[in-house]
Amino acid sequence: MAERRPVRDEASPKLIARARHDRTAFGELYDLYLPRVYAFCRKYSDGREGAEDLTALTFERALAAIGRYEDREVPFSRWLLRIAGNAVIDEARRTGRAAKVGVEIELLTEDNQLEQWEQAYWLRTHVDSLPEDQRRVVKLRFYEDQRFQDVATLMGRSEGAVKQLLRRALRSLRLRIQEETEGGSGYG
Amino acid sequence: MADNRRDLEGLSSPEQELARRLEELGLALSEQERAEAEIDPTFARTLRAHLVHGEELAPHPSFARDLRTRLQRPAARRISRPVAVRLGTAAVAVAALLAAVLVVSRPFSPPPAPPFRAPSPTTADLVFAYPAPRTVIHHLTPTVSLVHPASGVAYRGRLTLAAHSLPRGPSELRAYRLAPLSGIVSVGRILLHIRSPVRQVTTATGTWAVAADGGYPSRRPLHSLAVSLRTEELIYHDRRNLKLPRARAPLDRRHTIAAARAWLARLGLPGQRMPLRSFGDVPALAKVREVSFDWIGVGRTAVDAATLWVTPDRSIIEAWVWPPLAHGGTLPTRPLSSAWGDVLKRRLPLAVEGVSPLLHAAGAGLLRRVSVVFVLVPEAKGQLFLVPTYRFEGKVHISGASVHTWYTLAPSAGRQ
Repeated sequence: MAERRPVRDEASPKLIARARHDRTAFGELYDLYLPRVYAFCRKYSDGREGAEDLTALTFERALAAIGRYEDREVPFSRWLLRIAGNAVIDEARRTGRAAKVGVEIELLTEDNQLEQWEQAYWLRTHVDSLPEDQRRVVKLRFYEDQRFQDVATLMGRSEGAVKQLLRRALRSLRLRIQEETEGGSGYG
Repeated sequence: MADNRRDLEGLSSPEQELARRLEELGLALSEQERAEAEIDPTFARTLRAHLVHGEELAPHPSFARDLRTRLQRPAARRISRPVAVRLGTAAVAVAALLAAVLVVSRPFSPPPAPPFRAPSPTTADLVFAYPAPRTVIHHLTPTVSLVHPASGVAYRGRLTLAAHSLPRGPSELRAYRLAPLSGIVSVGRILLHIRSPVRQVTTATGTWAVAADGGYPSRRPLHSLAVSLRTEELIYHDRRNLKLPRARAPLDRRHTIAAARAWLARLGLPGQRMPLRSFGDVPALAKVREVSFDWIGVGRTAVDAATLWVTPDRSIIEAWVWPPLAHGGTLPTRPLSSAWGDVLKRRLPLAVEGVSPLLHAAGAGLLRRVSVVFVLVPEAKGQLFLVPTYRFEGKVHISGASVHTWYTLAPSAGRQ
């Protein structure tokens, strides 16, 4: 699969422009990006409460700084996640957790780290659009790290049938991605 | 991955590349999925309202805790104002949150069940998974788990707690009886190649069925399987072939989890179906991975259903396992206000995270979250249960220390 920036579920430039002076538009951005920002913060928090604090801080900082956001081939999600990464780093330093977490936390705002996170999100949106049985086999195999024989047991099918189903799922997934790539930006 | 390449023949190269990418991003995919499912709607609504309709932002928030303070300035009467401001809770949200949490915490919809009885948790049951004092293990012992070497203890200082309002709790909750594990020792010792016979050993923690080769005072490395006849917990150690320095890297996530699941399944436990709870490193042992699982279909529990340590060569060197579910039933509950009353009257043990439980300092805190957590309760007859408790949680300001999370578990059962 070629490296590409995820475009699906990115806010349109118009909405971002409106959000610079319109809080209601910012609310729409919030609705779109809350799940991925929260999930990112959750990864680097000890619990839900910490993740909520970091999420709130991220959106507050984003609201204060959105006037300075410039779309220079940097998706809005990357810009937001970078803010979230900085919030995580600040908090880790404040609480002394940074020493424990070490290098991982220092690399948080690196583009390749954020890109991986975004790409995972983008892939999930496509996986979620698959038919139920295909979605399930992809999740069991790749999200849950189950072996084929375990996936077969859990789905009540033979191992061969599960492999066949996974092949079908990967094909559908590839076609959906291709369709999106050929179909334009897909701005939501 | 070789496994994928072999098993997914016939795919075009973009599809194989897609499989490889899904493989690489597997951890992020599952982390995102899990995190998004737990977003608290009350939090999401409150933050949105603040961002869209809220007051002008301060020049810069020191931390989002301040946001909560600004959103809902608590009128705590029992604690000083500066402390209350620092704690800044969203206690008003507890009502809506509790409703959501309690609904979510109720496991699979049950068929009509006959009257179900379960024992009430003792203080020892409630504090079992509380923060524990630091324990130094000098010699491996078959009946002491390195995963959980010591039982937790209650915080010793005096905490003054307050809540703004309490919702009505659920009228009933599920509880579960666990299947006995003691029979596993005789079979397990054969499956795991332990040569010594099973014997009964009585320790300070009760009587155990133990099969053990080597270990102190023997010079041979310990290889042991033990099950408590009182609590039914299983403890396994294997230090026969610990060749960690030779391995270049720890085992990857997939193989670690598969090795752990296979080990549990080998002993007849439902390892293949148990939900993954956590995966990480063992702090004191480089290159060794720790993986833990939850009970199937049960909500949040205070203790992992199974925790295993896996070496790079896929060996299990340490395991701490509780029995699987036998059956479940419904228990009537007592009002939340009654349980909270017990907290205020200091009848229940409190825990404070991030400080030594042996600290004596006093503190003041507010309630900000209530949920249901299951604790293990052994019955006198030797049966083990997972019993629901109310978990009250909040922030506390400890004198001489910073702000920490406090929590307590309160029995939830009403009259049976």
